[in-house]
Amino acid sequence: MPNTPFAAGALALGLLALPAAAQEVDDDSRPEPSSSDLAARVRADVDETSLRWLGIARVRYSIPLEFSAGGGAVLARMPASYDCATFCEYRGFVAQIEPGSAGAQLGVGYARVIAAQKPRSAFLNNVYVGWSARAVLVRTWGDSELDPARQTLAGFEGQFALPRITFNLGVLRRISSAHPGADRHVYTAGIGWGF
Amino acid sequence: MPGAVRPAPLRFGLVTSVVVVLLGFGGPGAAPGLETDQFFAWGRHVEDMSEVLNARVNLELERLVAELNREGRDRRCQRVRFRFFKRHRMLFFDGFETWSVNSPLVSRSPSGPEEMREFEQKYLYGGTSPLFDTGRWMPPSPTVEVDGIRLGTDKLTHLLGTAWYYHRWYRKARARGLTPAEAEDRAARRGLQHEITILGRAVSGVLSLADLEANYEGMWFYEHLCAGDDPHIVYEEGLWRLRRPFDLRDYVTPEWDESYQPNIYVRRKWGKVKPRMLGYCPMLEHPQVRARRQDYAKRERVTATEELIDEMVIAGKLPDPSGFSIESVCREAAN
Repeated sequence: MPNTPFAAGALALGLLALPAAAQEVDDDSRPEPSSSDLAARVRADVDETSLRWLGIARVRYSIPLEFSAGGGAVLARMPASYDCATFCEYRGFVAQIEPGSAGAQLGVGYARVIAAQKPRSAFLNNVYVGWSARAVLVRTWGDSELDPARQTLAGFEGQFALPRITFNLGVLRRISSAHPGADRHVYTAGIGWGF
Repeated sequence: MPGAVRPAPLRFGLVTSVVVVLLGFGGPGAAPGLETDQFFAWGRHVEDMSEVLNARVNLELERLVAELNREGRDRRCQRVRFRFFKRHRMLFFDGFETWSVNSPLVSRSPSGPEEMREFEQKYLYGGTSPLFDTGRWMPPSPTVEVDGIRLGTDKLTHLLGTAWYYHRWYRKARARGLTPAEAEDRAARRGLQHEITILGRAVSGVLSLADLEANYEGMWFYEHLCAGDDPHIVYEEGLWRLRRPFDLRDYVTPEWDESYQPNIYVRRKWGKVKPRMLGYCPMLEHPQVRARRQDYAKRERVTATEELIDEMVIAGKLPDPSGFSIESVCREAAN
């Protein structure tokens, strides 16, 4: 599958091109007993939420992708007024495509990450701490350490991120055909930068 | 070896080492810190946020009451306490702190892109390595003002988040038959050990006495949330109600201001912090700073945390915090 990295990269760029601005306003606030105007303003500030797409990126070395670069997005709901210049907690759906030297990975799942965002940036700029749990689909090719080198695998990956560094562990199950006696499971591990 | 991953441990190990080292040195995504810096706010206008922060906490208490009433039955107070804690618990930071650093209703310093850039230059802990100083792995907490007292927004996490654990230690000690005074002492000592080890000095090189003060006060907030003579929330005639609104002014004292109540630093950290603190010596004569510190001195009392720290200092287990005060630094520089 020689074109897989390019296709994956194009899809990642497409995801990142999604607008980072507020896309939906939640008007689910219930009336609370309060007489003061200040209480009403605070309530409105907390309850007026929006969905935000924020781009994420990581580079890492992992088994079985080896050297790879990933791009994707986190979709999180939070109060619409938040600028996240100091930090915000982004909680929600995560999707990422990651082409590498020995394969490519598509992952979707749930993420919780404390991060800051620079003004007018569509990316999470400073990731302080976070984790994600993803269902992943992996296709390996030419340089893969796996035997056979070309395999399609599906499984789960857990990720833990600190400033500057990210770790992941996971398990994959082969879903493509292979020669008799080939292992069905591959354990994955990786280290890199980003989220 | 059909079907197995051909091992690449050497390459993986090498890449791991390279990533750790290279990305650590000045790479993108450097985190500014875990601490707070009230010195930066000296001479800057920050509006009093007592009412705003109270309104935010009371909103959550009202919602807790509404939630309890929807369930329509009495609950054990400890369960009510935990429900409140859970409502604002987030990953690492407390929900109230996250709101206070983001809401446009909260006046804080630094605020706005220009002041944020200035803060990056002047940050008290900015002289340390962002790689090796774990205190800088997390964002610094901006300064807000409550009842004339300047404090970092991290104190909200301490008062309403970390204090939950203090309160649990207190309750456990009470359940073992200790008197309230003994249980309080047990919780405060355990909290100090945590701050010395996993939460503070051993990790970031800073033992924040202001954090300890907020933790201690928060323990009493949780104790009186739904119990005692004057609880915030009561269950009466089949209904939960907010009997006494939360007021942050009942808890905040001058000791929460880290430019007034000095932290205790480990030697390596102090060597980096002291030169930056020295830069604030001329500001001690600033009218706003002088007036505030005079007001603090009038309001100051000996707190339970200070008594505990004094005991540790006398026992030689901690250095005297007064040696890390701005007055001490400026006096030493003048001589």
